[in-house]
Amino acid sequence: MRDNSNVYILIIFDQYNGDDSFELLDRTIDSIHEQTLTEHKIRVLIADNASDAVVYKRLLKYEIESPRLISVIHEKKPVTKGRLLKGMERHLRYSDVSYSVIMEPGDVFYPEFLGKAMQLLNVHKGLEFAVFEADIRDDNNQESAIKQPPLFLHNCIFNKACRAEYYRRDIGHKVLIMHRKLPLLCSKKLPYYSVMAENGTEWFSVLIKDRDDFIYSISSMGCMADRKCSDPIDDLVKRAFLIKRSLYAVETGVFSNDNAKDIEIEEVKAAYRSLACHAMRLAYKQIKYGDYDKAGDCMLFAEMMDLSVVDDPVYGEIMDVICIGNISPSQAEHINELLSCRSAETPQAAREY
Amino acid sequence: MKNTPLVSIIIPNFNHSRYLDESVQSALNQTYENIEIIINDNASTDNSVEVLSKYVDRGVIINKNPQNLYNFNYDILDDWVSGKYLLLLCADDVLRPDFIRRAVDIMENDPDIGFVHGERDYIDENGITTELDPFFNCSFRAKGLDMLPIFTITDIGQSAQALIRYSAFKEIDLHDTESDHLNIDREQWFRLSMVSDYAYIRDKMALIRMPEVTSETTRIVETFYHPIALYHTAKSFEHWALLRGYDGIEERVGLALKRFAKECIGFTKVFLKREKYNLAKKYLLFMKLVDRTIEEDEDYKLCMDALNRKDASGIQIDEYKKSSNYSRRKRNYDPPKGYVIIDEKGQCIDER
Repeated sequence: MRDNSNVYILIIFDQYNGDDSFELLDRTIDSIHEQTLTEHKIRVLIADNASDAVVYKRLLKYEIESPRLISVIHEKKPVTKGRLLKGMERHLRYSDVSYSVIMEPGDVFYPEFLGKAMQLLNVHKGLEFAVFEADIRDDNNQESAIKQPPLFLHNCIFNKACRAEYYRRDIGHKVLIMHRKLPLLCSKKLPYYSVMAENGTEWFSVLIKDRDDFIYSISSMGCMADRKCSDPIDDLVKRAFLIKRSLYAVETGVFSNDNAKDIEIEEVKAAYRSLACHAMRLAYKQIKYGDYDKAGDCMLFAEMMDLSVVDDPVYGEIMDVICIGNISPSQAEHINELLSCRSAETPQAAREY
Repeated sequence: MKNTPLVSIIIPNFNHSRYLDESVQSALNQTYENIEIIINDNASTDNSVEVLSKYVDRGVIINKNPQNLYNFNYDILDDWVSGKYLLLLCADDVLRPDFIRRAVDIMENDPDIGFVHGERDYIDENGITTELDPFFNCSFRAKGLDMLPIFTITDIGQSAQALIRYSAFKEIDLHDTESDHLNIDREQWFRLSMVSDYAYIRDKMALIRMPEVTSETTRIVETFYHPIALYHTAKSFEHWALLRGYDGIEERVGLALKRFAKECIGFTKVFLKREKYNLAKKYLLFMKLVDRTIEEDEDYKLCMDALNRKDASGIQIDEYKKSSNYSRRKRNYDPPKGYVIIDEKGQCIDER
């Protein structure tokens, strides 16, 4: 049977940072041109967040160069990232595409990504999204992709029973492809849609919370830009807010609904532990940038989210470094080693494929 | 009547049929006459529409959404609102008869004022009212920007307490928000304070429903949701304001968060008294995170000391009986510097 499926790629061009922004956007667009999937199955929508006329015109050049592939939508006045996505969704609603992917300038897909991802979702009919591993490109080292250990050791299909894994592990910086109806369904349901759109990890939480099965692949299918976080506490608070919102019913014991009733209190603890670990990783990152005050804030946040984090050996090591205001190469290597995530066995409830 | 501006009262409702009569009648009984009343029903499954149908003869319009639209309701307000002024009256809250007239007088007198808060009392599900201390010690008007840090404080005003100039409301695009339903009012005041000035009526102008048994305040405070959600709202607002190019925002938001941190000492003392030491510690860490200078604060030191000793005997708090005591604090704050004391019509009595 002829495969008619096609894909919408939504690129959020949110903040203009001089020529660097276009360099990053070029990298992203090039990776789309290099896809092995035939180009007529791909549509690209670039959302421009109220850039000035010069930047807007420059963006329109992409459209002029690839009129079948690329469209630019321009917001007249600045809006939040979530609102940008919402605007793009309108196009999704009235289009005949099968799948959608969200990117930001600097994110790159490897050439076989779209072809393989769509094939996988076509084979596993009924599954609404797939998560692929990704490498990370550090913002200080734009040229090299850093390999990440996969979250799990095997390809598998997750079901609701594995949901706790989300809370135990940070699933940000992965490559996601979704069936078109999924973002449409989510946006209808979610009053806090705009927040969800800001952060891949939390997007994932929403998806996993409301839907059933999804595919996880250990193959790295892209390289995500790890942007320098100018305000790590802002990022952490946003994550904390989203976890609190998603677990509100469990924590408060009210507004119980079908989504909340089977979440265990252990999952709540795991969520805050995971967030505390993320805060320590951000602290380490700030130390690498030489910003010891911000690193100290991150450590305060880690403790605030999980008071027991102070018993973790890495907590003490990072605090020692912050007190001294200096880090030796061997200390850095050791802390990095302690903070790095290791691949886990496939959860029992998941099935390998 | 034709010479007075139209006021649109929007009543969002979801399964509040029990309170609707009181709420709608309080809107109909305003001493100000040029009013349109529109019910925005979010797919209620109780007998709300039946209750409301009897008011159709008096010009009330009922718009029932096929599903709950949450914040997206702000998106479609423009389809309904015809008034120069807008009041969002929660379906379980009640207006005092003079509110609209007095607020319109003030705003007609000063076109820079974008929103007016009236004072309020609480009313529980059985209709028993609890008198609250007025938030400020006089009726006044002030620059919006000067008010911004004060709006961080819990309970300064809920939507039923505010008449808003619709042109200012349209400017703030409240549909584009990251706040949750508990903080969206606060974000509304933040944003309005960027685009307009503010006035406050010290007389009781509304009754806000605050069910005693299911007090949400207790839950959000005691699950540590409150500080996280408020910090998130403040930073989301900051992001919005920076995108719009407003000046001096980071400093104002910083001040707002510091003010909130100071407020948290009250909760912390209660937790220490109730031997909820872990929760008290989280609040103390939060305060330090948003304001390092708080370590010098005497109350903060007292709390830290009590926490370390796990003994709160040295801490004094008002007797803590019910959750709503969080809102029964002494208020009567001074307005921000540079305020103008006003009379009933909004005329200046004294400049400070």
